[in-house]
Amino acid sequence: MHVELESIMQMTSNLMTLAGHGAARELITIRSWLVRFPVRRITMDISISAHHPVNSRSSNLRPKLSVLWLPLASLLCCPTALLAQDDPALDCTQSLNPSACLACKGTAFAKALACALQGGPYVEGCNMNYDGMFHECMDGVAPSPPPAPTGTVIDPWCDGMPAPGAFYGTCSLGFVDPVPNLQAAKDPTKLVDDHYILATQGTRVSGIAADGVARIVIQVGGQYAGQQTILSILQEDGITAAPAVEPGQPAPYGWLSSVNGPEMTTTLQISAGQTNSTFMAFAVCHPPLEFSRGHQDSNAKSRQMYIQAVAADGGFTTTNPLIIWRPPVVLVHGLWGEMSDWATFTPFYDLTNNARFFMRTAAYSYPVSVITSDPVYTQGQLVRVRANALGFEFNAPVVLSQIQEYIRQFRSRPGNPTAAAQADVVAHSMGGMVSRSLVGLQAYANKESFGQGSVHKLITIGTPHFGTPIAADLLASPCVRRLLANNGETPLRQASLGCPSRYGGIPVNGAVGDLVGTGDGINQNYSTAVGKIEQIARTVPTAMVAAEVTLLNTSSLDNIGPALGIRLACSGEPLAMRLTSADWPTEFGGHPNDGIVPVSSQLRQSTAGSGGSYWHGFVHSQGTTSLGFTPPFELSPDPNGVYGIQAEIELLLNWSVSETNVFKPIR
Amino acid sequence: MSLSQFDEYSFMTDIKHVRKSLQATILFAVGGAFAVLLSNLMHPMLPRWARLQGITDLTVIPIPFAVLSAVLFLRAWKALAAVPLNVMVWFVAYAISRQGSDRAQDNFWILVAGVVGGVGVALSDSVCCPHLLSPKRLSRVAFIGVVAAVPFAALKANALIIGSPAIGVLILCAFALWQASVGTYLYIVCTQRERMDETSDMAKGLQE
Repeated sequence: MHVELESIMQMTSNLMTLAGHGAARELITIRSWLVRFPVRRITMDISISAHHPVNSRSSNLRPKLSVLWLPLASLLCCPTALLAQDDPALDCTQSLNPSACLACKGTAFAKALACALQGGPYVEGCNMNYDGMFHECMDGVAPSPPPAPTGTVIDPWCDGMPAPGAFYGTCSLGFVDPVPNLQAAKDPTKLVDDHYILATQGTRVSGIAADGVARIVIQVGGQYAGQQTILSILQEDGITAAPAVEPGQPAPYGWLSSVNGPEMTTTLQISAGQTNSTFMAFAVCHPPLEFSRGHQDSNAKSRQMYIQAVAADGGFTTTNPLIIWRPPVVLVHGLWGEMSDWATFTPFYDLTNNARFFMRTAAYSYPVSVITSDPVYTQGQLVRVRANALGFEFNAPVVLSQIQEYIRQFRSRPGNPTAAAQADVVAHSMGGMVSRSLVGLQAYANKESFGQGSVHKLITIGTPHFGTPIAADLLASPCVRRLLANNGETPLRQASLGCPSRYGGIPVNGAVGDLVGTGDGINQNYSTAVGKIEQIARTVPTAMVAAEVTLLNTSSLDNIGPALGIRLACSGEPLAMRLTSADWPTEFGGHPNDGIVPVSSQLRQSTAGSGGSYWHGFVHSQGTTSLGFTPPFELSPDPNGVYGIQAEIELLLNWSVSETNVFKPIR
Repeated sequence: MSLSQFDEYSFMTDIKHVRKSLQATILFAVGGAFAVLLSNLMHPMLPRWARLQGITDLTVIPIPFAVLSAVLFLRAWKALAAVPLNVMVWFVAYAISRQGSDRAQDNFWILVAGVVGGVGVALSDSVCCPHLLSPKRLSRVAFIGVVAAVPFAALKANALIIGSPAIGVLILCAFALWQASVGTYLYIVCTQRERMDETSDMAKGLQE
């Protein structure tokens, strides 16, 4: 068995090297399944090969090879992957519904395989993360059985009665996601107040995402009109949650209100009314603003609370559990980037230790048809242009629609229907500007987010909030531009797209043009696109993570390496000539930078400790290292036992957005 | 001198020239790599204002080749003129290689630069080695120049410069290969007369 596995690993390893960019991503997926084999030595081999930068860039051999090898590799590894027993996070026997879990994993596998055979993620319908599909299958893992609250009797009243809110085996207390059927037609922040609709519409849920915005309608069966019921939020230990809830302050278990009511309380009295065939009372449960209450929740996937309904006349007492989930996390890549940029971002890809995140990757790296461009490139170079070379405004709608689609996927997970309105967004480099840009779109504050917007919190890593001086120099350096364009990384100020495209024939901004700026924000020395973002009225809680290169990262520029190659190939261009450890800082006026973006721009002029954290010894990206800088780069995994950028991101995902010294409400 | 002695001597002469040619090849290869190292080392020594204006000292790259040519096979006072001519040829070839705006054109112009470089150094060295001026020899050196320029095209036009971690070694090898190929050919041609002279001296001795 081991021999067979090793040969599969070797085969995929060779393919990773040979098949080139297109097939590499599918192979990474296959590899990520293979790592679940209980063979530790093989696992190590994979992680090393899969993260090797050469694999994603070097070869131009067509991925046709994968057509021959992938089915064989898949057929061999599929049964073992599906039945893997050593990893509880992937073990379907631990699922609430083992057979459904197995079927789901099989479907996910088949879909991934079909996509791979069609030619990769650019194929329609394949633009998704297959690891995430496995996550989804395993979201049915049963939570630890909660201790029953003392002094209450579960649901003694409604046996044999109509089941207005039946879930978890009770019939008198139900939770319903009001999106979209229970939302008022004109005002997305309001719910309908018609009792018949409240009693019959909506989607049954068992949990709510801790985003502070989602809501669930609580349906409480009554025995007669006007029957008073006292609703309470109970902690996981059965004690009533603290009643004091202030607007904007953390309420660790959320709060209750009447339908469209202003209350913010953990105990609420409601009155039953007549519905079509029975009596029912309604209230709304609002989730906490943040999942984590502190250290005890940092590593949890979900936590639990109870909703208790007690009839004031003593007629019944019903208590039902409600699961609080982390909001989904969406990763957004940067300029010339793609989904696989996050392959080394282990907090989210290490399924064993971090299955707590429902993670998805937004991508805007699909090919676009560019007719003309500024600066001018040849047709051969323009065919290599992808959307990730275009500006913020062009990409924002695509990323927003993906974020909203991922929230929908999160809400409808098999076995765990959950009310959710927002996602946490982690963005690298220009991805941060695209994410900030989407806040200004009309579709951002959609009905599904109750008009509050689809982003719960934004964490930016190395984002040029005020642009970067390199952008202007790059546009003024034809030789360096040409080298990059030949590499599929085309610096554009503007481009005209061909049809079919929503921008067909209309000039759109290029990404590098949008990133032009001095980087310090002084006198608003940045592009119009950045200026537009700064004018957006709505704010998003944003934490900024910045990095700075040290001599350990830049001294390699003086070696016989890529920097020398660029200097030789583009002698005479100041940008090329500055690719030395002594001269590169002059690109940023001597100010600290990560090799591409000045720290002042990454922190939006803020200082470490006041809305941003600051890390030494990191270069901007893997692309930066290919210019001759020495890793680690900002998305590199933290070395074992070292608290680095990735650990910081995990911390920020657990950090409350109400702490405005960390999460600044910026536009 | 007997006929067998002549054969043996002639054979030894051939061996000696082959050995010398190989030595020349190695010297030109090392010189080519050394030129790149030297250029990289000298870059930080330029005045800061010059570096920031994009000025770099590429002059050092052709110098080892020119000096080796002068020492190994030109060996005349006129070689002093060939050295600056060689340097000029390098700059012309370099300027040509910078032409082009996409991969296909980059490939084309780098190969043209290879031809111009090969023919150019042959013409420069013809100051001391006139029999390089034959069309047959010029076309041969042009062919060698273009073939030896292929690695440059592979490096630049395919943007390996941007992405490859081993690019430094490849750049050294590309310069070493071109200078060794062209230099060795020029060496063989220019020392052919010397070898023929040695052999004919022996033949005269045999007749006597």
